[in-house]
Amino acid sequence: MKFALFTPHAYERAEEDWTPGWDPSWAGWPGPPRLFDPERALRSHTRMLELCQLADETGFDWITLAEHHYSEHMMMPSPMLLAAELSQRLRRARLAVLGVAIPLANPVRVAEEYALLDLMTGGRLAMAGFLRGTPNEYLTYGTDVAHSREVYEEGIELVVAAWTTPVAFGWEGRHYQNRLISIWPRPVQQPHPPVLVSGNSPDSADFAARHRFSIGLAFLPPQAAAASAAYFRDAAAAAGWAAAPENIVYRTFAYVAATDEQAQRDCAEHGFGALSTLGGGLAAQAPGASRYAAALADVGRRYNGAAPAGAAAAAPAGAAAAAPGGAGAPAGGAPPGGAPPGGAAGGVMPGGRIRPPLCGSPETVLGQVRQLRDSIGAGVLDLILYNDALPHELARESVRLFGTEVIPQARDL
Amino acid sequence: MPDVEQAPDGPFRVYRAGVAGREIEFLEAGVGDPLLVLGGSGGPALSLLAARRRVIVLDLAAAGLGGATARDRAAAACAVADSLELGPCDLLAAAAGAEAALWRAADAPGRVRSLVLESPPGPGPELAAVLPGIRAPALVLCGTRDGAGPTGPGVTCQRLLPGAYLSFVYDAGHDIRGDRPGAFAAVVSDFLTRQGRFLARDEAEGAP
Repeated sequence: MKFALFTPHAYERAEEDWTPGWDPSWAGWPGPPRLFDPERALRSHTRMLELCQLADETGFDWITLAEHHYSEHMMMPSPMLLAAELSQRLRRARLAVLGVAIPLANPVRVAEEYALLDLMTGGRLAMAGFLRGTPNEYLTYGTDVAHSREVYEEGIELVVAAWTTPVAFGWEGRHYQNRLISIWPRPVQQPHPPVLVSGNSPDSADFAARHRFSIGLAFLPPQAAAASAAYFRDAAAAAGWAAAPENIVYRTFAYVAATDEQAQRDCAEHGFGALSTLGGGLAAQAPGASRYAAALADVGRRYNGAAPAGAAAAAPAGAAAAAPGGAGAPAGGAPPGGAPPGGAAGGVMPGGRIRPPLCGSPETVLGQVRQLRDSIGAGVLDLILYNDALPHELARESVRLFGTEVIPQARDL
Repeated sequence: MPDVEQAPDGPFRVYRAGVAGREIEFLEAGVGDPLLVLGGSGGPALSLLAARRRVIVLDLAAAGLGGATARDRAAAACAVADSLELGPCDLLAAAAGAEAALWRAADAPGRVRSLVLESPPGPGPELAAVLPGIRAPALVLCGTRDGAGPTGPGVTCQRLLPGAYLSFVYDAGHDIRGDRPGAFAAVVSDFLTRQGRFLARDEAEGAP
């Protein structure tokens, strides 16, 4: 099994930023620019690099990054830029970009940048990932969310064509038209680096299976992830190939401490372990933040191809739907709680207690990893071991323990 | 112009002309620079093109001018173009018809202004040998659900033809003009109007 450290690049949260009792109907996006403090941003960046280097030294296989905008939780407008920085620092771990929000981008530029990054990593780019993006991302550059699934699929096919076509060519797309494509450099890995797309929904898993891409399952509870993985394996078989464990990447929260009790106490105290707890933070302090609710609800509804406004009373773009960090997760994909304690479930437990799906002492977490391996069949665990909810010292210890005490035991699973 | 009948679809009408002692049938619509289409019938894509130029659609096999080889069919097409006094014209051909079009460009370079090849097959050795000598600009179209891909025939044509521009038509199969008529007509019209300049965006000229 392989293990990845997911890199949120979160703006360091001060105690006073944490707002208990946040309103779950409000998305906490966008982060208010005027609260940006350069010193804190610099410290956040330095600490992110420190954790990536620690993961590199302690045996993590990949460092992963994902595009998100306008958010203090995920300062990642360009994962390519951070990947470029990390490519010059990592000694063993490989980089995986999981991924680029293709409907917001020029696919030819994405093809060029991935090829350049593959060159800069010595042909060791572990995954070139593509996201449709969470609904809120469609407000970033004023991109219409309508047809975004079509745009996403065509964009990825265009990137692959740009990587692999050995002559200059044009593209007469439904959404992209380009008369001259002839990229340099081309990927060092031939024909191209492994491609990962979201596998959370049946549509996206079918697309991945058709093109023999790997899938990422992000923030699904283990049971749902297992069902999605099984669906993908079936779709791959129907498309004439066998999806291997390494074709499935499962992203989830994890926290390791010296003892189970300590781990659970830390997570509960700091609200670490569920996407929905990121709804608070800096943006909660901004008066009038709810002015964005109507637009978020609109993109959330149309992202899923739902009926026009007025027809759908339910399903506003809630915290999980629009929360940054929901990389590729479909709107409304909040991990529900209520899973049995002790198993690899997690999320918001009954009583509002937060616990990551992987949580406990190294020994306990190893057991939970085994459980996930058996139920989902993912060959790569992409671990969110820290975010702005967690103090840096605890994050560092958790990464260290996972790298030194869990990974060596779990490597051969 | 000889006999005229209303064609079943679009602006095309059926015409008849005498070629080499026999009467053949073809479709025609539009005014302007002539585009000779080898194979097929009218349809939305060609109707769109006919709004901007003169389009003559010739089914050689149906006209009894099939010939044994692609080169024979090219000669037959030549004869038709001569009898219609088309002069140097643009040539559009799909699938196996593309071979005839290429032979015509090789054998009668002065009569072919430019070529549009829709889903061409990979050229055989004899044709492949003459392609590097063809100077006419050529637009090679491949559907992403058909002949696209790094080893497809479109790539081969682009490499062998010095004046070729390869373009992938997304979400189209072998019948590109049927699957994406609007996209097909737009890129073909732009290429025919602006030739090599069609790569450069020019909104004033109505380019993409």
